[in-house]
Amino acid sequence: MTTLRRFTCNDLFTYNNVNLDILTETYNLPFYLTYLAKWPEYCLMAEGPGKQAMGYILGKAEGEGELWHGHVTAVTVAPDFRRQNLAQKLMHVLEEISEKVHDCYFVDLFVRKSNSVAINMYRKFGYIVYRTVVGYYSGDEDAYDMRKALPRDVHKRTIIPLKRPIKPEELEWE
Amino acid sequence: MSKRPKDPDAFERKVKPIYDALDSRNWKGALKLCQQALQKYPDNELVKVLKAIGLERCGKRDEANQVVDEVLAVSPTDEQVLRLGAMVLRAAGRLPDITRMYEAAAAAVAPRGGELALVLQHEVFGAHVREFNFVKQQQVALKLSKAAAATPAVAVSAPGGGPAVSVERYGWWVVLSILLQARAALRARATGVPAPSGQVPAVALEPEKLMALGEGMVARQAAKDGRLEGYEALMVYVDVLLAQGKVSEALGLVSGPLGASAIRLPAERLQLRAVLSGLSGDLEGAAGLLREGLELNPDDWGALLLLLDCLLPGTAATAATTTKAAAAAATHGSTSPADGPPAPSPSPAPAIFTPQHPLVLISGGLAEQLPPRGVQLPQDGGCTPEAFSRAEAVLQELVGLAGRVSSEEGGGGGGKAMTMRGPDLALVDLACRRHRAATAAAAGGGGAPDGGADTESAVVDAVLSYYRKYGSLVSCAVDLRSYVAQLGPDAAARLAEAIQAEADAAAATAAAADGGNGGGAALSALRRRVCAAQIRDDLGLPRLGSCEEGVQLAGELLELYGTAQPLQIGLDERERGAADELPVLAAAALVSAAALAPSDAAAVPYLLAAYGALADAVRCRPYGAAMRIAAAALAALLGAPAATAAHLNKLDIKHIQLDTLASHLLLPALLAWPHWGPSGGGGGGGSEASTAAAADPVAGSQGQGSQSQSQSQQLLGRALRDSTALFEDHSRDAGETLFTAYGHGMYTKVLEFTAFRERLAASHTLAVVRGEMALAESLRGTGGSSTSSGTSSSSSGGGGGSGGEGVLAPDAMRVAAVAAAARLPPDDLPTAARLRFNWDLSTRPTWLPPCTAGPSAAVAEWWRSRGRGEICGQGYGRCWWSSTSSAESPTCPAAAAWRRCQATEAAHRWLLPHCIAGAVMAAASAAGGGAGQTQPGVLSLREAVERLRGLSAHDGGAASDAASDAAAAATTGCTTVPGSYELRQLDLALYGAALAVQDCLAPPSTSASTAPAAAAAPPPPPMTDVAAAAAACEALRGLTAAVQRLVAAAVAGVTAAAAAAGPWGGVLPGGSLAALSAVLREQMPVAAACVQSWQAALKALRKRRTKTGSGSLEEAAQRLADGVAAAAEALAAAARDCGEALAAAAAAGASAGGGEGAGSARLSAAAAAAQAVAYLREHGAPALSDAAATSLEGLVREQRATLAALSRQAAAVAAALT
Repeated sequence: MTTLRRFTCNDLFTYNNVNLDILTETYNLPFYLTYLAKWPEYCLMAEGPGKQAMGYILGKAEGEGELWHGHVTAVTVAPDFRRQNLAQKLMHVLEEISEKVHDCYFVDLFVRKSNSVAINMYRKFGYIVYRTVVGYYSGDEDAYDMRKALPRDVHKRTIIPLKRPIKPEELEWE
Repeated sequence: MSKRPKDPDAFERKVKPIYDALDSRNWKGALKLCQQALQKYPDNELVKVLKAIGLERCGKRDEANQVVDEVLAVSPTDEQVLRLGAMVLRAAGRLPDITRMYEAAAAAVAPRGGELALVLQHEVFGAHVREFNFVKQQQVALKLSKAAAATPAVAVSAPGGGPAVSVERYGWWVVLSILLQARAALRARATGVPAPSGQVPAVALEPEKLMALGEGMVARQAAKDGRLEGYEALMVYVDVLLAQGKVSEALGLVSGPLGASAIRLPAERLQLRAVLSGLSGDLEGAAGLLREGLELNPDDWGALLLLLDCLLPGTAATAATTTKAAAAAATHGSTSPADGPPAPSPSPAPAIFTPQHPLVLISGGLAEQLPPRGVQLPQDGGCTPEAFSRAEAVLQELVGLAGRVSSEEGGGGGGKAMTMRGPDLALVDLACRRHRAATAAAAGGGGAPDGGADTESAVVDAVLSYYRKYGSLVSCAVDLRSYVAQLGPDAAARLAEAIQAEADAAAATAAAADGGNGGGAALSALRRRVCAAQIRDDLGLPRLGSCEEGVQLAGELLELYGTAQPLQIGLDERERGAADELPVLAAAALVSAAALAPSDAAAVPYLLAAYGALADAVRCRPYGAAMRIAAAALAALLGAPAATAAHLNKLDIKHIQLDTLASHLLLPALLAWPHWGPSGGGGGGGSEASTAAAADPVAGSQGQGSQSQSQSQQLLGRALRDSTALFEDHSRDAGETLFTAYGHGMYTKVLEFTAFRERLAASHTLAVVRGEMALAESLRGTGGSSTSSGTSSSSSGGGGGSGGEGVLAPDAMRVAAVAAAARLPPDDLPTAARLRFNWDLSTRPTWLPPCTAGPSAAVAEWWRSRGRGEICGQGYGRCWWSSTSSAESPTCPAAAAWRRCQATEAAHRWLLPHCIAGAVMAAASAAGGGAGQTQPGVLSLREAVERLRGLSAHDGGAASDAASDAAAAATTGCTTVPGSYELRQLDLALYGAALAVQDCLAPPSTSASTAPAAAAAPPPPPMTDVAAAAAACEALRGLTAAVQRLVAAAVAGVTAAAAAAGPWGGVLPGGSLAALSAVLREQMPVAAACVQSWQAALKALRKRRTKTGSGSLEEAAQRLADGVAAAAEALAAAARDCGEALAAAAAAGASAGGGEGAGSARLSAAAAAAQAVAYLREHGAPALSDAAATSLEGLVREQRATLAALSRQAAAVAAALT
């Protein structure tokens, strides 16, 4: 049972059952506030029956022309609420917003190359590895840039994998 | 204005490399390039501000400010110069200067008009946003909207990048500026605290008028355009309507074409309509819309609850609160909480209820500032049997639907559909509602004759049925928590038994199915058993009657945990293990055993066993948060602050978590215990200290390097500095994201960010860390301070309380305390009404109740609670603090009481630097030093003491607790741990005595305290007031008596514990030690400094008398001199008592085992830990691994270091007093 609603500043005071998980990064305040100030529709909290945080997703829309897309910045589920397909639900909502509110061509995300659990999960959700970004994580580790095409990209042109790995400075955004 | 460079290309070639250097964080290189560029373009403002940026990034803030001031002096208007200048000013917190800078630039450019004028006006608006000046924002926004309307071709892009700001958006800026004023006015009215300047109009305007004004503007705009800008605009419109009680207008708005155009997702609009229908009183209509929405998403919990509220309004949460309050009133004879809804007469049911849903309340919005508006209940009370049947039928239908949706969705999208447990849990919710209604009816003399036994059984059945379906989900126990916590004892016992039977049956089936090979069925069966254990705990079961039962329960839980290990081979260590809840429950059972132990000393082995069990578990699951938090708390209770910090360090607590977590999980340990001074002090303690700060206290014995020692000294200073930085950074930077929200048209966020900033600025944690930082500096100086001639005084400096222990000389203490107190303005003294309590208390284990003492006394207070029988490890679900946002709960009386205590404690600690400054300063003044004038922003000693007494006047409860503890101690012969109350009373005695001595040395009429502006202090008159001297001596006797009492109690506690602790390696309980630690590090050093300065004053008097011919002092002075001497002697004796007791305790621990003490070889920490483990094994505690023994060794080592540091401190205090 989940109440899906917009993420608010007050959630920062109560999201510890999610963020005490070591795989979930706690960002500084300007990071959250910037997302909320620009893309509040992309920042969603899944609230449990005791109003506790079950998980949340933070994302944004960016790009130009046919590269106009939704981006998943963070998606996380509290250890207590795993194995209920909540992450998929959150991803689905983000895709829906990218499609219906922003009319994007695709959705993308970055994931550590070593995080095979997450990569397989995203594959199940319909994402493909579009390209590799060398040394994306502070130079220590490569990232996979994974993408899923939305209906607007009728010919699925945005998800034809790039053979050549790219460097972080070649990224179009961020 | 700077001249344009003649050759722009050449200039560009000079400047570009500077930008590149700054971009690549090469500050020094950038500065060098700036210097070169300035040689060619000496007056160029752009180069200058770039230099200022470089200086600021290098940490040379003063120089950066200087350069920027030079630039500001010529009133620049270049956008880039202004932007960079603003960056430097913002980093320095000079927000008003940014405003002045842009105002000047805008005024200079205004006559010319055009794009630059608009851009600069835009920046002026942003500057007012940064300063939270709503009135000026409104004025500027109005100008902007007019200017933009006049020149539609010119547009400014949104701050932080983004689309150009439209005329329409400027109109909204005006509206938001007005609504923010309305909000500020509403807050001022509710709190009685006037709004900060610039937040409300100069001519007071009722908030209602302001809201009407805002609404009118929105309505006109919408009517003109025939549409609203989007979701954000719509939600602000809804908010302002709701705040004015115009619910049906809001419903009309959302249902009509404006709503249709503004909300892109139909499901969202449907839900909003449903909520507003409910709020408007159309419950049937709301229920219909909610069902429509639930057919699309049957798992929507908010919608399910609201649906039940609409179908059964008499059982809604708001109505339920009154029922609970009535039940509480019936059992405790109390009335309902003042801030709750009015208590209902037994019958009929309450007349109104408030449908609630997260969708409708904007966080920080206007409606939130007003009491929720209720809806009339139907005539039948809204909970007839027919209504229940209907609700049940609706839910059953949804259960079926959820099943179908789950199986259908499984195919699409590649993954599985989300587990839809909502409708099933709603059935549990429904059963609870039915039971509440039945008990309320029974209490009212009508309805169910059995007082709700049937309906309670129905709750048990509903929970069981949910467990059958979802017991293997990790969240099952969490889902059910609030429901099972409501069950009475009999039902709880029945439920626990039934669930255990189910779990056992599942385990048996799984064993048969898997053939014991540990497959999926085994995992699922294990989860069911873990869930059963959790639910049993939430029910408050089992009730443990003896230490042995606690040990046995822990053993069972750990045995079950052992069976989980084969099922999680290969699991990433960062993932949650299959049964990670169990070690935490086992530790809780062991702490319950400790709570049942006959003495503090006897409690220690159980705490060690708990620590060992947790240490074992975190070895393979190093990031288990609940395990780390429990281990950290145990280390704190046993005098091992560095181990506490190391455990929490593993959880990477940072940023906002410094407010919500570190504040109450880390600070208590760092504040309670000393930080070891340089080694070489008493008994080799310094070298023992080092291991404790190892990166991971359970990872073994690495980290014995000497660098860890200095790290540990920095722990408190760093924690305080990091926490303060969180708040300071936000108050400086909040305006940036707020301005971004304006630019992007995120209007609800404008309201929300404003509320968030207010919440952080009012944070209780901020009040605590500011107070503690100032106090630490007052007591330990700020680096390089001179110390007394004491033998082992030390002050390794570093600022922010990171220095070592020791006793500051009076002059150093005065200087430090005056500076520290000046940073704690008395007008900002913390009060419960003004503070926001952001602590996430739900992370605290059952056995770590939020303490009514402040963080500095929390360790002593825990041990005191143990002695009172207030600690219990079972029943997390029944703890008031286990629910989300419990610290700020408006309806929980325990939370309200906790907030009051915390505020009082914080205020008390705030006053201490003022007291110290006053106490030491007054003596200096009397000595004719001229340093005794009251400093601006620092309270006089008299005022500080009066305020301190005022706070303690509300201490009635604590006083009677303390008295009853003392009486109990007298009859049982046990000592009680001196806690927060005694420590605060000691402060009163100390500063009361200081005031009395001051009145004697420098009577009020001449003392500087009432004449802050006195230029040069006149030489003190001869001291003739015998009565004042008598009063001072009496106060000094009162002080020494209070110190002696407290020290005697603590010393007795330590000595008794040391005598008993041999068998488990000499580890001592932390209660009496913590009390000693507080007295030795806080009151005694201040007393020593006071005594020293009084003696100096008296010596000066004597000198003057000798000069004038008469050799001896007047009677009054002589009396005071005698009184001070006696006090010094008594305090020194008390310090020596502490030192001897600590030394004896250390020796007892070192020669543990035999108890014959003298002559036996000192036991190494490893041997002591081994002895503890052997003892635990002998006494049936769960088996501990060798690794656990290693972590216990670290604990032993650190406690020894703590003892040694306290011994050194006692010696330093004694030396300073003799």
